[in-house]
Amino acid sequence: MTLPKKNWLEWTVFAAGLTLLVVVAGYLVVQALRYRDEPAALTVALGEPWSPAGTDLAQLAVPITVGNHGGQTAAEVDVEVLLVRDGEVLERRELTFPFVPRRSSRSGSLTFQHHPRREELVAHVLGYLEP
Amino acid sequence: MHASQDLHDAPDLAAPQKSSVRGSLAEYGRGLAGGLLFSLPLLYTMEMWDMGQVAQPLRLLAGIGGTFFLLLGYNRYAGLRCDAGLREVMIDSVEELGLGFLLAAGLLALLGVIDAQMSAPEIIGKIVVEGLAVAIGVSVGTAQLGGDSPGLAGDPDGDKPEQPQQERGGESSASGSCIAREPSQTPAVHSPAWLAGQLSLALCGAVLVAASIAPTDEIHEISVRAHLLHLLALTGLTLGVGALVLYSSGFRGATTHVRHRDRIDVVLGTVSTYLVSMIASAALLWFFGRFDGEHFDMGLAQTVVLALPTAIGASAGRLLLQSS
Repeated sequence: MTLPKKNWLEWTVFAAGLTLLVVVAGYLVVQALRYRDEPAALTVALGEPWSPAGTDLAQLAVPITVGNHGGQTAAEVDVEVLLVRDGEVLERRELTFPFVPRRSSRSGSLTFQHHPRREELVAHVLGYLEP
Repeated sequence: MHASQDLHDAPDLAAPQKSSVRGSLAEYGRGLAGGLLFSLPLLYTMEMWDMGQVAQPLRLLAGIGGTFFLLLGYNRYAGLRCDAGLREVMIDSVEELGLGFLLAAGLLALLGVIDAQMSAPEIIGKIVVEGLAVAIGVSVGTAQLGGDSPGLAGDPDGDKPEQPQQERGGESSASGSCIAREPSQTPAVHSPAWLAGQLSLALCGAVLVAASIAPTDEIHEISVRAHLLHLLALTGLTLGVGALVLYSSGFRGATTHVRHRDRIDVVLGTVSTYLVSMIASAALLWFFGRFDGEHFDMGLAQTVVLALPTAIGASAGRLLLQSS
């Protein structure tokens, strides 16, 4: 078997290209084998409420992170967060994430007027679209 | 990739076996420029990024396979070295895919489309979707953007000595161009290899043009509104554009690379261009997930809508991507 005549630069680029191709294709094969038709599995996590510097102190911001542990990407993920104090819903906030790719997460923030404590907040996913 | 052209400048090197490093660098430079030139619209298109997030691994793998096949065809029939064997063509195609991925990754990172916070499937997905488009651009750029490449040089011979197997002026050598072209007298029958070459160049042109249109929402939008009569008219226009470019617009190469001996040739050429356009159109739409959950009619309508730009690419590409 005779190899085509190429200089060291061409062989280097070829080796790099082949490596990259094998890595990418191999990764995709593993992905295809491991995660086939699992639907999106969404979780919502809230952070500690905080007051952003230089803003209206009447409001507290609550960081929110939506994670997707499933095998499919979710689009238009609607998340609802309730501020419940003494068994009563004081405030309701809603946020839409355009995309939460499979096994990824997206973050955002919501603001509340009634200075919520972390344990007074209830969050859940209202729904999403399959893209 | 091929760098042999550069050495032909040196008169004392009669038959260079290896290309100089400088020549290779120049070729990679051309490839990078071509990759950017031909795929820039796609790198800046949001639908493409979304596609990278959404696409399933199997579809991305199919995309890599399809693109590799396309690159093989292009490098075989339009590459600089007509005598390139299968092994060489494969090496070139792997290089181009690798460069495409690298270039896409670099640019996507610069544009902030991918970053370290994203998960691996998302990053890989985006790089693959964009990288495939860039790889085709790299391939076309390497072969077409060179100053002494016969592809876009206008003068098929140029001032410099060409490769021994390439055709000079009017006198045709034994094997002519990369596509085993028949002698100047149009033969009664073309070889299957000739047809395969023509069709694979048409496919390259089709994908090159249609790839930047297929992922857009507009195709779906148009198809939803299109009446049956619109679709029929579009089909007629698609056929007409193919025939116009190949047979009556004096495109470069139209007289040498397209056989028009009689009306049957015109009909056959037009229909085969249409066939390539519809196949390329459907394949691209499938890759971009446009058929998912659609009724057959809707899929067909989208294919017909996309087939018009695809046919322009197929017919013009077939002529412009020729290597001599």
